[in-house]
Amino acid sequence: MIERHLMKLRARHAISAEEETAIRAAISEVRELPSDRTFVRAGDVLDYCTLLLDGLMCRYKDLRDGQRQITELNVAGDFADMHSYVLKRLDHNLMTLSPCHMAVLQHDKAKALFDAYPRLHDIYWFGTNLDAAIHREWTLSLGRRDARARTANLFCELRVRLGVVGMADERGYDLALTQTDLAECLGLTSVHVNRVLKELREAGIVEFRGGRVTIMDLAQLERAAEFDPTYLYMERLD
Amino acid sequence: MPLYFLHVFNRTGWSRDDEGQDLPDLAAARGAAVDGIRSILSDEVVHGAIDFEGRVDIVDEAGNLLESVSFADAVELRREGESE
Repeated sequence: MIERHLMKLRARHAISAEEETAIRAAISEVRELPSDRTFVRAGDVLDYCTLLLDGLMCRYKDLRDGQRQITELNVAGDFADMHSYVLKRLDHNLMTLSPCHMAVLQHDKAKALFDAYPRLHDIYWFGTNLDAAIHREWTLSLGRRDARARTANLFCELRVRLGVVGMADERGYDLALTQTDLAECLGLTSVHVNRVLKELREAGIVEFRGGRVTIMDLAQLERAAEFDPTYLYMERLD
Repeated sequence: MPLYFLHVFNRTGWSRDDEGQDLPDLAAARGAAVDGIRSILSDEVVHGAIDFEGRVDIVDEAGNLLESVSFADAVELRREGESE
């Protein structure tokens, strides 16, 4: 059930059999959610964290006129809101972008887990810091990269993140996003994203169609993005 | 909600919208076309040049062309000496 989550943890840290058992025991209650469902709203008081088992979720904030900015995508194996453990209420919403299975980590169970295994506390803290690093990269993209580089960077990032959980290779990956979802990640519009995708496709770099990202030329894609994967902290730390 | 397809034509060619967007009505589709054009132009302007040659065609699910919005109509241009 939490295999992808364990793959993500083990990409950076050794997790012992005992620690794995303790994590599995702390996590409960699988819920199924339909696509496009805002299941946590900004301001809701939470007593649990959401672990995404499969599907795609996002964190977003919006303006009164309905304009939405997705601030991070969450893929299988990610906690969507480990930070709710200490924040208790979120300043953003959580929404599914595809049908999802999620599991729950009650905050009191998290506390018991971290008290018993302080090393796991640090490892989960690493995870929230990794989210912060991703947010910083998105800030760089939204503030400084042009539409093409921004789009290319997102495709590069997701290749690495999905690769960690065995869902991407050099040729590409499945990505259940609409052009509107992409536009909301990239601070663009659906019409603009459509044109950027056409440019990237015609340049022989990457194609996004029918829920699939097909990487035609990875080196060119990474060059177009000025992709520097160090913010994803892929090295083993143990 | 009806599905509207917003195809972009400009100097770089035709960007076909295969996915479409669920929008309440034609006015909303027109709004999405205008926002889309402004988004494209804003990306161009930071590179120092704007290309007004282009349009967005709004097409319904049956393939009927409902309206075309030209790039030039999506923004108001004011030059030195012109009043509002």
